[in-house]
Amino acid sequence: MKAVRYKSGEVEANILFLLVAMFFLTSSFFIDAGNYPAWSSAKIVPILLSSVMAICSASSLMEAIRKRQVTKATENVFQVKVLTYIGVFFVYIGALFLLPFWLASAAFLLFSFLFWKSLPLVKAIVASAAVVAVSLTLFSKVFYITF
Amino acid sequence: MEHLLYIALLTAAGTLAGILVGAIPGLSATMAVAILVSLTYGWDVTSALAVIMGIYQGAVFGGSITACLINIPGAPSSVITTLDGYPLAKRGEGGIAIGWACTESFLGGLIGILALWIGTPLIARIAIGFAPQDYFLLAVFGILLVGSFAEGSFGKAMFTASLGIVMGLIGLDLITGMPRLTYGSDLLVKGVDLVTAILGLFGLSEVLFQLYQNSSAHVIQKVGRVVPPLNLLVKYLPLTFRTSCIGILIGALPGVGGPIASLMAYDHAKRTVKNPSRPFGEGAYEGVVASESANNAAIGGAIIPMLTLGIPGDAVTAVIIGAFQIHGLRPGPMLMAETPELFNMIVLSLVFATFFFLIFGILLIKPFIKLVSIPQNILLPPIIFITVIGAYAINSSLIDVAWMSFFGILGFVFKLYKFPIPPMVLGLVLGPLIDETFRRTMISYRGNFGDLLGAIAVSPISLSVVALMGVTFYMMFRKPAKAKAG
Repeated sequence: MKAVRYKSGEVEANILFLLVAMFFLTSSFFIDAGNYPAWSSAKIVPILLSSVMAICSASSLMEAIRKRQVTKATENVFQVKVLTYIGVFFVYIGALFLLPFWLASAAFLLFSFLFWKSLPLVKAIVASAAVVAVSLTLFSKVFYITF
Repeated sequence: MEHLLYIALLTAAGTLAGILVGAIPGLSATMAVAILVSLTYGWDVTSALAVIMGIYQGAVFGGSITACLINIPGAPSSVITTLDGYPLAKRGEGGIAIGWACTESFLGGLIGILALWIGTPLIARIAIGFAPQDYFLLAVFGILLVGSFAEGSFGKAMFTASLGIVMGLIGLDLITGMPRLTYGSDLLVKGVDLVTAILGLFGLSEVLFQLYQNSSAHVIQKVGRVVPPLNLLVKYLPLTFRTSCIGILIGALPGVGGPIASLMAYDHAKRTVKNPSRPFGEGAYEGVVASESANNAAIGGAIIPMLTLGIPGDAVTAVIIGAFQIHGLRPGPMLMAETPELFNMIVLSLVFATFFFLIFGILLIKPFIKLVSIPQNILLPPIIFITVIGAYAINSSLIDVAWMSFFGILGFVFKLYKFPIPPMVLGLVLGPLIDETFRRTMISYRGNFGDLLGAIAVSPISLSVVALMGVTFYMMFRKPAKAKAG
């Protein structure tokens, strides 16, 4: 028999998806339908599909709860390393609004190479500078993107 | 002539990039096309399509390189190739396995292109006579695609598809012109940008997931001789033809695509080949022949419904529809009637790409293998950077980068908890089509369902679409049984 493996946060994630579905379902009822009859109004498809979403997420939630009850080994998906990296990625996206594109990107790449222990410091600096310089030059010349 | 050479060069570049991306486990053809689509905004549509077709053909073949050498399929359509390709590599015939994959992908690809060239104008001519209910049925037919992406949970696939449809409806309503689900925000009035969503869902999320799994370099089997013997190539031609036809037919059904095509072709080879070179699953050449000819033939098949009906045949063609939208085009029968040169361009690019991957596959196999052995933690950070540039390139706007990041994280969470992502993209593509065609149909029948069902019952086109839906359902339920058998 195949062992059931529960991933941490699976039930919570499914609850979140159910809430998203309920949010869309509730807001679909407030769409301005104009003078169209019910079956051809602008709210019909969002209502139907949000209901499908809610039913599917509820069934997925039940499945996750059952899995949590019978599982013997829980896989931890909240790896500090991955969460930190995602956090820094969002700092990078924020920095793009404040700093020049090349500077924020080079700093992010350097951090990535060091964080994932891909390259030693000197090689990481050279690689980040090279990737940013080559990419930005190539994309601006070939794809006509203004940075 | 100069233009032809230019197109050939672009296709060659796309094919090379496609093989490289396809050969790296975790990086898919869909991801490669998604990143490139966003970058071709400033290009003319023919150049963009030439590169995209090259990537599509190249990546499907590229997936077989790692399938044979390290038992990890580079692309979903190469899963079946591992069954006999890897045992061949373990016997020291890795080069021959790749050689078979390359030549059979070439032959299958050409047969698929021939079917595309003959079949597309015929279907487009029929599609001009479609009524609104036929388009609605076709859009629903397209949503059936979720079944083939279900990965064990149809409910999860249906959730992501419905979320995609609802998110695809955010913005101005096509019929009333009123904002819908915008919550008073000007940012949402334009709606969710398809390419931005695709970049996040297929690009950023895949990279984050690979980093989460912390993959490292793989153990590569020896390569040896690459070119397969000519006498065997001739001997297997009837099998190649049969499995390519299976690939075309399966590829043309919305959503069934390359992975199922190669599975069914492999099943056909197992049942019909009486004396295989070795038992199937232990390095039979016939196994690689069947799988690889079918998955590349499926490309031609998958493009037919995309061009003639605007319904994607698989995840890559869903992304290619995004490329059409970027260039202001809407795939469907009118596209074929108004811009036949675009169709010829697609066929030509596919032919070029097929020849190029044969050349690159045979000649450049050793450099490709070196690239595959580079640790992923070196390759992936630059790819994150390229997804950021790709999102920025769409409108030169950092808001799009923020949207891409949102979809990237959403896709990452979906991957963690095994919610399939392709149905969401399918929903984003087909959502507005389903909404518009359903409501127009209901308006034309004054909201009466009985009249609608009566019209479907007497229309040969509607009945054909319903029959096709039945076939697709059959394929979806047949899949798990066959997978166990394989």
